[in-house]
This record gives sequence, C-alpha cells and structure tokens, in this order.
Amino acid sequence: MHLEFNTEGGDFANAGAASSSVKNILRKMGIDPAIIRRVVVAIYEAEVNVVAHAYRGKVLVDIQPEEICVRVVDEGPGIADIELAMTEGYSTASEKVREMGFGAGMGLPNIKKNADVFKIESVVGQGTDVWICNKLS
Amino acid sequence: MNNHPNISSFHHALKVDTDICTACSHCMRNCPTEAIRIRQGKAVIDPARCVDCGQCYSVCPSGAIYVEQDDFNDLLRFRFKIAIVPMVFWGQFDSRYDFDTIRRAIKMLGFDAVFPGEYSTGLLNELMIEYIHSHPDVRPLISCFCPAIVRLIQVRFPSLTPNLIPLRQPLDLTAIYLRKTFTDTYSCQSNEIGIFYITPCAAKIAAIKSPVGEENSAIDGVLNLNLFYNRVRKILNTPDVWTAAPDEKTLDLSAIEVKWTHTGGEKNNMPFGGAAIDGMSSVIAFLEQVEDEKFTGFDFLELRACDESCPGGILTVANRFWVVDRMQSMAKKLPDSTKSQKLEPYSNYLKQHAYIEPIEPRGMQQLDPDPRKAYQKLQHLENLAKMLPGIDCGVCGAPTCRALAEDVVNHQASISDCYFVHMSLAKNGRKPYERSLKINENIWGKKWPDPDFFKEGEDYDS
Repeated sequence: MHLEFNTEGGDFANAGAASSSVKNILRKMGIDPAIIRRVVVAIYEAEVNVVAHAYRGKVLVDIQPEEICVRVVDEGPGIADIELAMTEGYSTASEKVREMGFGAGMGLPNIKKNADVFKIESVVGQGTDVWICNKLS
Repeated sequence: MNNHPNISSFHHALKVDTDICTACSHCMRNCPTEAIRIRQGKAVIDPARCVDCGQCYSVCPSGAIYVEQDDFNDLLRFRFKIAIVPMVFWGQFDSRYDFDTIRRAIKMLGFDAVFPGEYSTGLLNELMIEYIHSHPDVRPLISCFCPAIVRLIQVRFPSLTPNLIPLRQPLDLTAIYLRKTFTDTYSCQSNEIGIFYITPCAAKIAAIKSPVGEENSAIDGVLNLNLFYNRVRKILNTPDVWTAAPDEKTLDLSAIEVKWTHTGGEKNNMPFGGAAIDGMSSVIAFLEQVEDEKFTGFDFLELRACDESCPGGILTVANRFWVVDRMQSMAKKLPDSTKSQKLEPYSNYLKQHAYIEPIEPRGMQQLDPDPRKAYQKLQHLENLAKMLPGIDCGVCGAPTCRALAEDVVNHQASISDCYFVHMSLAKNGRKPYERSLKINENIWGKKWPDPDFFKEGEDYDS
C-alpha cells in the first residue's frame, strides 16, 4: 500500500499529516501499539525536520504486512556535517523555529532511535533524503 | 456486530428500547466511537466499540436509550444498608437544603449510613502524587477516575494504557473503607452489608458490573441518580426530615472532596504540570496528539467524558453550571484539605487495597486478528472508501462513509447500502428499483417509503 504526502517548509500547523494517517492504518492492521508508537514518532520527527529546515518535501510511505518503509525527501539547504547533525542537542534551527517549541536538536537522533533501519543522505544546496524502515511484528 | 474473537463481552449499561426507537439516527451521528448502526429500523450498539459515555442517551429525542439499574428493593436483602452518594447529588438541590438534611432524607429511604463517594479522595490524592513521583519514565500519567475515559483509552488509544495510574476510583475505595468499618464495628459478615452506589452516569455502572483491573467490585448495587433524586425530593417535602436525630453525627468534609469530580478537581491538587480536559470530543482530539508524542512536559492528565465532568453526568437533574456554582459555594465553607486521621485506623489497609492490576488494551480497531488478512481488508477498505461519496450522510445506516467501508470489509454491510452506489447501479440497470427498496428496508425498516405518503398532498401535486 502506497501513500504520498506533501509537506511545505514553515507550515508547522499542518506537520503530522503523514504520521497521523500511518498511525490509523497500522491500528487497523492490529500492529502492536509499541511498534506503532515508534513508527509514528520517527515519521513525525522527519516531517517536522522538513517543515523546520527545507523549502518543501514529500513523505512516501510503503506499507506491507510485515514492514513499513518511509522515505522523506526534501528540497532544501541540505546538511553539511551529518555526523554532527546526529548529535543529541545539536541544532541549526532558527530562533523563530525554537520559539515554536521545535529545534531542540533531538530530531535526527530521535528518528534513529525509533527506526529499525535508518539511512540519511544529503547534498548541500539541494536537499536531504531520509529512509526509515520498521518491522511490523 | 463484533466479530473479533479476542474481545470478551463487557457489561454495558446503555440499552436501546426497540419498541420506542424510531431510527432517527441522532445517536449514530453523535457517538464518539462510531459504535452505533441503524439496522431494520432500530439503533444497534456494538458492545466492542461502546465505552458507555452516554452521549447517545443525551441526544435521543424519544427516550429510547435507557440506563439499566438494579432494583431498589434489592437492598432489603442486607442487614446493613449503606448508600454511597456522589457529591454532585447534593449539588442538585438549592441552598435551602444543607448537607445534613439531604443526608438524613437519604437515610429515611431505608439506609443505615450515607457517605459521599469522594470520602477517600484525600488518601487517593496522596497516593496519586506518590505514584507520579515514583514513575518518572512514564509521561503523561493519566487518572483512572472516569471509567468512560479508561474504556476509551483501552479501545481507541491502546498504546496509552501504560500511562493510566492504576488506582481505584474514590467510590470503590470508599466502599472498601465502609465494608471494613462495618464488619469490624458490628462484627458481622461482609455479605450482611449491602453497599449501593447512586450513579450520575452509565460508565460507573458498567465499571461496577464489569470492573477493569480488579476481580470484582465492592459495590452490591447501583441506582440511577435521576430516579433516586425523585425519591429524596419526596421525603424532603415531609416535616420529619427537618428534625435531626439526637445521635446524628455530621461528617468531616473538605473542599477537595466536594470539588473532586469537577473539571480540575484532581489536577488542581497536584504539584505537577498537566491539563484537565472534559467532553469526549475534546479528550479524543487531545489524546490523538498525546499518542503522537506531540506534547512534552505534561506530567498529569485529568480526563473526563462529560462536559463539566460529573456535574454534567447524563443522569443528573439540574443544570451542570448551576450545580458547579452551588457546590463551589458549599466548598467555600469547608477546610481546604482532608484531615489525615479521617480514615484511621484503616489508612494502611486502604493503601494496600488502593491499587488495581495494570489496565490492558482492548485494541479492537484491528480489522482482523490475522495481520495478513487485516492488511488485505485494509487495502479493500481504502479502495471502497474511494468509491463512496465522502459526505457522511448516514443513509446507509453507518455514521460515516469510512465506517460503512469498514463494515463492508467485515461482512456486516454491503457497498450497495450506500444510497449513491445503489442509485448508480439502478441507473445502469444493474439493480432494479425493487432491490433498492429492499436495501432501504433492511436499514430503515418498513416505515419508508410509505405508500400513503402522497394522499394528503394530492391537491398540491396536481
């Protein structure tokens, strides 16, 4: 089953559409609530990253009976030093973003923590590509 | 309607009187868990989805939804008859009637003792604070006070069941206290004591008849507050009630107890950050976000199914805002906190009995117990949802187009139950008019279409 969501940079009010839809689908499949929680948190953090840092992005979801794979791809400034960005507490979020309660530097580490398989690629000046895969049982 | 094998049957206090039900569908449209369908011209409640919040009862214009209660005369079986009455009961009366007069009137109905259900809230408050302190890893922690909320979380937010604080409701702890006090004071057997609870809502009945997280309830019977009110009201019109018995003792009450069941009643006594939310739709919208971990920093949540919490209970009589005001002025005259020695010598005994088993999820949102089948049904459901008009008209007997699609994949409805689908099929000659009539009859009964419908309007027509 494939789902696709568009995310606009700066649109914090609507961040979370993809994670909410995925949550409702996984519930209907009867997936263990603890697994759903991990998946939903990972996707939500990835959505917020696009909103906070990029110009626009897409969330591409593929759900199979045993596995969910999500690709979050954005057009944006990209990440110069991925290793640094993966450090808890490190953030390049603007003051404006922090004022809204985001940008604590927990986004990427939190995605990694909640994903079974996590992959990130980024080209400075072009954008970032994040893959999240989780087993559903 | 429930075809999930993993769900044992739960007691529900809300019932449909099929002789009165006109299938007006108000209940179906207002049910927050989409538990109601119209079948053969009657409302049908799905026991697996119902959380006993009572919104259907409140919106039913014909009184077809009723709340089952025990027989008042059941109390005659017991040597000692005790009434546990929620503080909101006192709030139903105006200021001419003070606490003791109303208590006396209740006793005159045949009770040996009358206690407010909130009598143990001082102790519960302590235990709740202790629990929140000792579980720093689980946030936000959610009170188990409102049984409709506990069931809602089990059914709709199963991932949040570990966040529920496994403490008894005040009325249960008060019942345990009274049972112990009576057996010790009168050296009698527990089964000689009958404890009756006067309930402001259906959810408490359901919780007493099939308790969650405990083996059986300490309550022997439940009586509905509205009918009980009528009995008490009658006694208040007799002169005897105004003369206090010489041996009558008044109860030590505090403002905490009086206001506990109001919105904020628990939260305002907590040294933690948190929120107090009332009303099913507000609670559901909030929990959706909590489940996605969109909030951090909340330690404690007080969630109540009814607007204005218990003063808005479906079995109350007076206006809920008036009741809150009335009870707040009662509380002003009382000390803020409960005397710690109040429940002595049983405090330790009660502390040992205050906890319930962890609350298990009742995740019945899954389409099939087999994940592979559930996945197939889900794909089917998504395809069906695209065929349906998405206007949620309810003519199919389900509250939303998605609810119909889900019923179809669970073999509880047919896609041609949708008015627009069967009209499209009829237009293409694939389903004749007679078939459409049959579909309509299966959902709405034989009342429509009425062959005599046009007789009165004949003149206008021509």
